[in-house]
Amino acid sequence: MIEVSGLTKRYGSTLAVDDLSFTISDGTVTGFLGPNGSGKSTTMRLMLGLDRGDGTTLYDGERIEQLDSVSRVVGAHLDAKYFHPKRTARNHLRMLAQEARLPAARVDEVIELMGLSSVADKAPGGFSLGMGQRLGLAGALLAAPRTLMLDEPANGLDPQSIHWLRDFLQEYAAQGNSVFVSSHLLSEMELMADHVVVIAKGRLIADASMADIVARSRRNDVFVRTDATDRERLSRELVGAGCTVEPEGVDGLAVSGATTDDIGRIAHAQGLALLELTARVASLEDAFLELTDSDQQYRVGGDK
Amino acid sequence: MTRVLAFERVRATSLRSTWIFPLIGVVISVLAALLGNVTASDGWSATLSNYVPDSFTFISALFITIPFAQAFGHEYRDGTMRLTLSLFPHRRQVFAAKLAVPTVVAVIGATASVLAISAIGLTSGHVTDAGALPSVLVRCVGFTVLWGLLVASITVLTRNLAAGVTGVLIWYLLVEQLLLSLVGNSVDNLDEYMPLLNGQKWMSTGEVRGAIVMLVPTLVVALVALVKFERNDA
Repeated sequence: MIEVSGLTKRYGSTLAVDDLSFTISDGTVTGFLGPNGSGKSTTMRLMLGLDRGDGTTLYDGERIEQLDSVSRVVGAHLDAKYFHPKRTARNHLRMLAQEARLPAARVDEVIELMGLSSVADKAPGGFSLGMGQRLGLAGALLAAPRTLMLDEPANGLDPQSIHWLRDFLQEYAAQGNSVFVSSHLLSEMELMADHVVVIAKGRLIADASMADIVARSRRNDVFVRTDATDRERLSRELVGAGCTVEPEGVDGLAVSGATTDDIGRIAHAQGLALLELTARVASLEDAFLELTDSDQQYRVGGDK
Repeated sequence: MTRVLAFERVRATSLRSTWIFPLIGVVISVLAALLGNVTASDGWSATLSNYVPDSFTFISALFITIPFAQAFGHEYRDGTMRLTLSLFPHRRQVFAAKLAVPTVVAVIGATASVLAISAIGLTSGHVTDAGALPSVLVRCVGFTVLWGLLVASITVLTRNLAAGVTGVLIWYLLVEQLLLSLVGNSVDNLDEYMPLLNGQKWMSTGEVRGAIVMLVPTLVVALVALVKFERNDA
């Protein structure tokens, strides 16, 4: 388990990370989400002691400086380009393996696991972004750490590799390990993560299970379409039944607080014909955009 | 500490440049000695104590100490310093290990240079006093290691490999010389306080004061670099 308490980082007068506290539990994949510039990478660096700031991060109750072997506790991959361009991939991993005194056989094993066998003795200066990601992941996995901390690991990966990564991380967590992963691929995160931590402008916005985060979205509703002449009457009946109703389009209603069955029965009781009755389930993207809309620091297309 | 030393050993030895530049330094020393012999007037003679430092100059030290700059400079350039410090959070140990491995390389390079120059001189028949070899070896190796420590420190302070290598050179060739020529006449004995000039003097003549004048500011700069390394963001 990783316990993060009061992480704070200032760059001059800018508060990049503002009193962040959350927990990463064993056996879960925890997604770390936030708009561009929200402080995700800075937070990860603070957790690893790379950036100087306030607050503490405890790995099973110990600070990182107290760990006997860091790589056996936390395997971090923060960037796909963190390697010397002329040192071969195998030597890069051999170098990292020294921290946990791992044998050469383990390096070979991880090279094979990450599909790097054909390039292991080549210099990574010519690697693609995806290959660089795999080398970085290989480095993080060398000592089979109890926690994986990955910053945008799917960047540059092809769909097959992303699929492989998702399955791998879920399996890794299922073995009782913790996985802490940031990503902009919300669709992937929705499939992969059990728990989500959302930050914006350096502050914690949400820290909940994936199911709870998605359930909070206003997009969890039922779309009802009826004749234009019946819409107002149906709306009154639904409001009277305790639902929240918003007009949508020319002849539609967005109804929350009732199931499709409930709405169907209410309409039938009033003799109203329904032309469409669709339950809409919010996605992580819907929930994320609602949570962070007002806190987005770098907005594409200018402020609205 | 042993693990971070092992890490640094693999880091350094897995790159050819760790050995290429010191080798260039040794070759320069050898060529300087051979050229010196060829261009010397007939009947020349020298003691080993003078002969070796004439060939093993700061130029040799410059190349032999490039690994000091690489130990930090490569990591800052490639972003791997974050990787290293995430694995080894005790930064003082990392700093020490990153100095220790290039020091070994520098000692090997400087020793090889001195031995090669000595062999060239002593076999020429013009150079005497082979008994001075241990003392001249200590001076040349010591000068090289102190030069390397300065290179490493400036690399840490600037986070730039080229600045580390050239910074010391510029200080020696430009700043010290410029200061001497501009204010040397107004300030008494200014030349006695120039670190690198005096280090070179120590190497050439064995004057211990020269070693101290080079050592003290070198250690101060190294200490400043260590504090920055420990306190700043990776």
